[in-house]
Amino acid sequence: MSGAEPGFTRVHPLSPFLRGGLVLVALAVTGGRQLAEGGGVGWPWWLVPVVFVASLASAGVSWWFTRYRVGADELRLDSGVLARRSRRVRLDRIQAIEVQQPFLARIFGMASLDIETAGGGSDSEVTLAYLSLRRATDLRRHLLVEAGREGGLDRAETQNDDDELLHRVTPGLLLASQLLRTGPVLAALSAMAAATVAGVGSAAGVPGVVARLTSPAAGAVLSLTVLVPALLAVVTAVGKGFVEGYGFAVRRSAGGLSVRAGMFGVGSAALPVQRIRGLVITEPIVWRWLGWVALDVTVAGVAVRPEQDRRLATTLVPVARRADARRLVAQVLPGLDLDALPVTGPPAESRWVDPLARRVLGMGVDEVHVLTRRGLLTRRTDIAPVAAVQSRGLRQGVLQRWLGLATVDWHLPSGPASPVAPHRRAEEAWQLMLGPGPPPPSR
Amino acid sequence: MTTSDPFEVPGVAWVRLGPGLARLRRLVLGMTVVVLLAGVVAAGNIWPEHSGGWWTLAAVVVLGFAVSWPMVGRSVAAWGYAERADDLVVTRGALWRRIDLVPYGRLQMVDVHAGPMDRVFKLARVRLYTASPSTHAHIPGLLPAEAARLRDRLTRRGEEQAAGL
Repeated sequence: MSGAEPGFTRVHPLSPFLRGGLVLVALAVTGGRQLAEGGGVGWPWWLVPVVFVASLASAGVSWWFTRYRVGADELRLDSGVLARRSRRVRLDRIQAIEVQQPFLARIFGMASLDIETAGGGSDSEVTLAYLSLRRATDLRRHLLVEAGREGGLDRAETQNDDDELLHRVTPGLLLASQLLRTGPVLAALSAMAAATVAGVGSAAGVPGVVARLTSPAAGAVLSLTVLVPALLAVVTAVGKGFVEGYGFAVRRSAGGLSVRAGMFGVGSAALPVQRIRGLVITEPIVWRWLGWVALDVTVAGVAVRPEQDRRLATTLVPVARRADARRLVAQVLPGLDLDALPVTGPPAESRWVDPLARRVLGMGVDEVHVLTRRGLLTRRTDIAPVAAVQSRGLRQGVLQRWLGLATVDWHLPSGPASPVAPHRRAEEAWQLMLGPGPPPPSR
Repeated sequence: MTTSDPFEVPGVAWVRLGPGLARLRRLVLGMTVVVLLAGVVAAGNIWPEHSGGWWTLAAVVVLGFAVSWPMVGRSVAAWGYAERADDLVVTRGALWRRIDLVPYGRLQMVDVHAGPMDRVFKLARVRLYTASPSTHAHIPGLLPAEAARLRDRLTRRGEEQAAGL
């Protein structure tokens, strides 16, 4: 490649197509149809190829002026045609490097390299788009070595295909698990119940209000106004869970674990073990019978990242069989022995405050971990290292006060885990507040 | 340390708030009631045909005032804090009570805040921040000088006992 200065490289020549990819595709489709129909839809047919060529040319020019160079201690990225922009990233300031593959790039075997530096703002990320997947992976490895040289890299890295694979979620299990979450199951049950009532009602010719409510016309209205939107919502949720979790893989990477998933756009996120501050084990009711669980983690420092990354960056596994989940839990909370932690329920008085869900409420603490369990239909278990607890809260409502009960919360850095032990005996609650807490400072 | 009432902690002497916060809240309550009553009276003059309804509404407002007035006192009296050796404990709430316990080593920031009404009454609020967004510990109704001293003390202890994240 001919660069103005030595050592500079351009990103892949396919980049302009991929960057403006969708616009070009849309234009081509529109243009093709216009041509086929002989024009006459308000604007002259020749505008389409002109716009097409113009946008291609501008993307091409922009590509020509975009160069990067990896030096001994900095990465430099120059871009811009009229307003030149030159960004330098000190290699020892790099915090994370992620290889991303949006849908279109993936088709062409391309990838972008997102380089995140200390600072966390929008300006702290530099993106090289696009490189061939091989080039992106090689460059990432090279930069990691350079960045780690100064010891500045304290975050685990996102995964490479050659990292050790710890767990992979099969598409069949993922789809089944999304269908059998509490929401879809409840929706299916209520739809069946409604259909049964309507069917029985109209068959038996029940008189009066019931008949009117269950007549075929009412049934049609009901299904159009309630069932169809509900069904759509369920299908959307299930589809989203399936698409986002597709091909979910957990690997052991430098500094911890990493996850990668996605059907159209593959995203990946690092789960640095030394930054994990909490774990949530979620078991929807049907999953419990089948022995499936989902694992989510609270990772310190994840909250500041954009929503899309955050969901992946807090998921350890969207669904796994108990034995597999156990292995993964051992990876993220190595000192935790789920069987050794004594979990106790709230006292009998709690039946006056929470008659149903009190059966599943549970809490266990030892010197290192705190664990709470709750949720009647979808059971969730929140576990946190005691050392991660920032503060504690004790709540007591009027009814709880009469019964001598109180609820204790453990406050963690932001993330999915939020241990709470409702309706404990008041004296026990205060003990939990004092807790084995953070280690007393050495004096 | 065992007690059947977690809100009476042995060895913890709650520092209670001064009278300023109760005065502020009573003034706000009184002004709200005056505005509501004025609205009802005005509406009663415009649409006199519904006089029964307007009287009922006025009675409801007065009743709400009568119930709220003593509740302000109870709620303010329920606030308290205690600086223990390794943590700050804050209690609040008359009916729905709560205690927040924040170890000094977890403090990331302590700030003093005074809204416009607070300033009129020469009050300030101390708020504690940790790495957790669930930490809601705060102490309203302090004198500004007292609040500043508390902030400095907490910040110093936090630095001494910093356990890190």
